[in-house]
Amino acid sequence: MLSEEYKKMNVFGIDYGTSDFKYGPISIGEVPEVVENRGYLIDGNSLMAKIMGVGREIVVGKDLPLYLEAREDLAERLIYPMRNGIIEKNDRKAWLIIRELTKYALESFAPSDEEFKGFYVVASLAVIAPRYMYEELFKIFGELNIERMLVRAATIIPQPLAVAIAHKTPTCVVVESGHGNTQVCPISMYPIRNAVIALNRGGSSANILTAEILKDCGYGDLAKEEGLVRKVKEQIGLLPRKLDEAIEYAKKNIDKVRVEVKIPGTRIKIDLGEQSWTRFLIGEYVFNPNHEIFNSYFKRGMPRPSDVKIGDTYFYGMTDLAESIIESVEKCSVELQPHLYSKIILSGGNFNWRTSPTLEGIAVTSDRKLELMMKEKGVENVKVTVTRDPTYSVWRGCIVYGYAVPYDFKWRWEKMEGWVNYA
Amino acid sequence: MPRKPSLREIVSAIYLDEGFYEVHSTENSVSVDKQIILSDGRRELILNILSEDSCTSKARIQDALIELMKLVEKFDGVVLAVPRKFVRMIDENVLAKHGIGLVIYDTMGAEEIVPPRFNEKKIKNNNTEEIKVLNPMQINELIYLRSEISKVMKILEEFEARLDRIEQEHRSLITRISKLEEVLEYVKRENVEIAREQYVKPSTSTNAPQKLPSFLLDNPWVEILSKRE
Repeated sequence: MLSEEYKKMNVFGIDYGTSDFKYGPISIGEVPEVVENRGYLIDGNSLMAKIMGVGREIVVGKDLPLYLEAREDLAERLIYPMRNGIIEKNDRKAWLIIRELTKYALESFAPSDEEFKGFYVVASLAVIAPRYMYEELFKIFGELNIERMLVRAATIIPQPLAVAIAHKTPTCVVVESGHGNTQVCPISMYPIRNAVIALNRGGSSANILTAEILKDCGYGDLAKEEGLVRKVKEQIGLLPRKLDEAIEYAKKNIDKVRVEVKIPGTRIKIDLGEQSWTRFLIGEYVFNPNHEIFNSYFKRGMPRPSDVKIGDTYFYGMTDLAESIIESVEKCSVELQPHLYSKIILSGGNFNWRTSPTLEGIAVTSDRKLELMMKEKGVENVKVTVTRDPTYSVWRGCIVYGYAVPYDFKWRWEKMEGWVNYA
Repeated sequence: MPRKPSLREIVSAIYLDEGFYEVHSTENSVSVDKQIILSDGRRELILNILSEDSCTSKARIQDALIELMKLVEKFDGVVLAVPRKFVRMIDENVLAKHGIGLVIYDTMGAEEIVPPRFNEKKIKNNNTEEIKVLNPMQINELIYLRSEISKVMKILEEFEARLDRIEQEHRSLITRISKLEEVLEYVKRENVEIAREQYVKPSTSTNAPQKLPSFLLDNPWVEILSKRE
């Protein structure tokens, strides 16, 4: 029964996200399994490993916290392999973790009956992932079949394409903002790869700014804990309609912007007091870090997002979001451009900024902000949408892709599409 | 399930046991929460009930006491009923001095702390007036009839309350049935829709999906991607 019908029943989606690893077969329903995209390298000589009888080198998945040892070892042994979407070719530890996570995901769902001949795996990587990452991942899928047939065939698609598929939109611009970077990718049936723009800014940049704000407000000790800073950012961060107006309003109406954040399960309470206007800087920084107000932070040592080259891709540091979308769209045919501007999809937790009725007209949502920025730059008829379930969009796109693409469509490097067969 | 006795029933039970019957009750008094006028045919007793809420206000208690003093002139006996936990707020000696009775109550029952002093002179006068008109046989018959009427009135009130509750339940059941009918109609419609949707054929594999997830339905990409070759 190794046919189209078999493929449709055994599609398996994997999203190698920068923070979370989402996986599951078509039969799981609307929502995939989610674990953190990380692995812990066990010290085989440690007392803990001997006591627990750990015979393996790496631990991944939901049980990982049970194996964590001393805090000082965490930085070295707890590895997030895809923090900026790309793994270096020779980063052995990172690739080992990716292999272990992939095996963990497939084995969690592989049925034991004899009719099962492996999954049709659709994996998703950042659009800026270089070719060697594709090659390495295909190699891993093949190696996993040595012990037991887990992967019948596999393919890899870029994350923005998966988002467009999940949102049922064949022509659009997908802006995917992860922990370490932001990808702008126009799509018209296929991802238009030569129009892709990558920004060296993501959720981590807003975290860094939040940490600086916390330091300035007397919470320097808390600013060292990344997880806590992220939570505070999510609680206090606001996206201003116009930064200057928002700051002026906030300074005159402190009571309306002041907020006390309580960290659940702790005694920690954070109140920015007179500095509550800085809440607007956090959202603005993701969209546009060029405002002169950020210079005071750069001068005091906060790293300025710089232009970097990773693999074959340039990541721009300071280009504002609207500018990068325009630059990307203008690389496409003129005829296509209005269609692309009319469907801009914002995906990723970095676009979930809070608003409140008391700050109407001062704080805005991501779609409204981007529409205003585009209008200021002279682009009319822009329609921006924020994804409903950003966490699951890529996985859903993978499932649709695997379900629809014919099983006999062979992989071609020139198109970067099709199935690599392992039978 | 037995009905929980009302505050009125708890407090007046003491005097009903002594042969009194209810003549009139009101909740319109400005000074106390409830007033019940009881009679044993010969004497009229007014029972003034203060609720817990009223006892939290000193002014309200003082107001009630002044009102009681006025009632002494009109009725043969006056009684004040207060919640057990507020009994310390009332000086029973002062009440006893003025002939006002004191009853304390809680959810378990009521207790008479100070019995009311009946106005003997007034009773005597009343009796004399009645004796002038009625003979003893007629008086006893009148007392008995009043007592029976009071009982019938109470039973009627109880029936009225029960009828109210039944009508309320009836209305609530009608609403629930109409909602269930709407849901049933929706489920019937959905079942027809689902039957129309494309199902993946069942398989022996444990991974076989029973129906397609929502993000696959009406997705234009399915047609676009299925033409990849």
